[in-house]
Amino acid sequence: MSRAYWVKLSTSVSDTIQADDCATHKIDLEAVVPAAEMGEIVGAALEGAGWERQDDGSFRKQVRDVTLVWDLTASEVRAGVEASQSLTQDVHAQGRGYDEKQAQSDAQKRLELEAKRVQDALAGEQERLQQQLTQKLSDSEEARVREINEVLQRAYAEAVKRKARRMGNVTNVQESTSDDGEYQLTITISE
Amino acid sequence: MSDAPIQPFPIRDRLTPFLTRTLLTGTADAVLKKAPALPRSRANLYAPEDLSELGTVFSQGVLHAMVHRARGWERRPVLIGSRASASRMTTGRLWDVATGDCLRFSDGALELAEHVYTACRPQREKPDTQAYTRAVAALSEGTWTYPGDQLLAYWLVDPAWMHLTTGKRLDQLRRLLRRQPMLGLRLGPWVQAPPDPAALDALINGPTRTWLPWWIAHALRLWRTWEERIWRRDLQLHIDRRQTQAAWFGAWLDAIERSGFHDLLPPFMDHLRFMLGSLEALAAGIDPSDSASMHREHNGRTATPDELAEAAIDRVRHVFRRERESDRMRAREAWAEVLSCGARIQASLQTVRAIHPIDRDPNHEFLVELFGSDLGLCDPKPRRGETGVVVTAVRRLDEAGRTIGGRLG
Repeated sequence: MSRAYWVKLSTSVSDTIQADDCATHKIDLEAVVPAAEMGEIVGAALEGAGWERQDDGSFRKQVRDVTLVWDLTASEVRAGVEASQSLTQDVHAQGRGYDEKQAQSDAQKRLELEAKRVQDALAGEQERLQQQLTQKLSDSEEARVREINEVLQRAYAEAVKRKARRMGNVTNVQESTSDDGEYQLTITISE
Repeated sequence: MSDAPIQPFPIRDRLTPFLTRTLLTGTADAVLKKAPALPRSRANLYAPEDLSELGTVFSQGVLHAMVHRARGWERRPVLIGSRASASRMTTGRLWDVATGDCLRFSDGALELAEHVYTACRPQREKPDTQAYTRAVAALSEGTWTYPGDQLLAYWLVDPAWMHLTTGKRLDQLRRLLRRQPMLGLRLGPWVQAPPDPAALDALINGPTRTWLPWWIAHALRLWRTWEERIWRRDLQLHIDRRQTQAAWFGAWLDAIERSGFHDLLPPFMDHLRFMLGSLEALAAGIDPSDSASMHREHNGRTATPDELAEAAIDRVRHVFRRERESDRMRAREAWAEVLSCGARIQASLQTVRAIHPIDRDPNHEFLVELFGSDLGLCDPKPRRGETGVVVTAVRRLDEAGRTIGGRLG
């Protein structure tokens, strides 16, 4: 009477999935004062808005889990998101044969098939993570643009004040922001 | 050694029918079945009557191709004259505006025909790639003193050439296409060879200039039939092709601006309209239940240029919505590069409008007339005097995709 042999094999499939995405906003800065001074004004406005100066001269800030990097030289703001996950999944397979060798071979083949299926599933996880990051970047666009425009607004206000002082004697400066966020700057100059 | 008399090569039975069919229809497969090779020795290959017949095939075949395949029977506005500033405007068909030199051919044309015949002739079920190499070399080294040679090469060229060129042959083909702008326009984005400005200037100011409106329109219609291939590629190749298209358009528009022959602009405007329209069709095809159609009417009124531009940007975002934001941005920039060619045309128009009407030349008047007539995407019956809707729309697409400006309130 023949006997059937059964062999069980196990392994684990591990992978670290990584995803990232970025968006670039080009800044078209009008030089109200000379370009170098404009850059200095923008730098001060950035620090005033909580951006951190980096060693390479750029400025960095987190806005809704998105890292913003303002490059004054390239005149652009880069918004980046990234994430990584370590995933591990155990894989089991059972093989059968008329002898132990055959059962081992069968189990090995089934284990490889199962491991490949898990590997494909992990690839699907990578795509899901990527889409999540891309969606996060997209959702934060309004907040990013608002942050950038607020910095530019401060910078332009300071630049206009400086220019006004060079044009004559500034007798009055009035700044106000309405309830709906409309900013108004009025400078009175006497000759 | 055999004493049998040497049989002359049947030029009339083989080479002549091949050329006739290729020029008339663009295909010659049926003619080439069991076609013999041309003899290596060219001594006494052609009888005088063979050469006379081939000359007739060249001129009549090329003319037939220009009329039927390039729609030379369509009436087009054309500037007639050696210089744009001293030209006159007329509307006519191809044969109305032809000059005597258009259909002159050099000996190089015959050599080209032989190489193409040999290259297309099936040998052991494989094309003769060395023959293609010789054909490309013949085109590269030709002096092209007669305009008929360029026309002949254009109609004999098969886009399959680029599939057979690899390595050194591809580099050779790319160098050739820089020197032969019409061949380059036909194949350009798929071979990635930006045109040489001097070659473009020579073509635009040469004897076949008056045929260019029909010639360019034909090449760009081929681009439209190949658009599907671009969309089937992966994103990076898609972006590469768009950037190459932008380089080709930019070079041509710069050359047209240098020459002042604005009658060459309409085929490019047609193509820009086609590309904007294709975005709408493609997005609707990808997800009909979620299509954000490019509304031509907003609450019963016609869409403004800004609305058209924003709709085009949304369209690109929608088509590439499953890609990463960074990739979508590169796709938008690639599209903006192509569509912003309209901004160059807008700049030309502004320059011309700054010229007092009394000081304008016919080419200036042509440009003003062009923008006063059929241009709108939003109105099938454009109002006379309406400024460049397409041009404004594509310029806004470019600006909106690239810049955030500061504001004080």
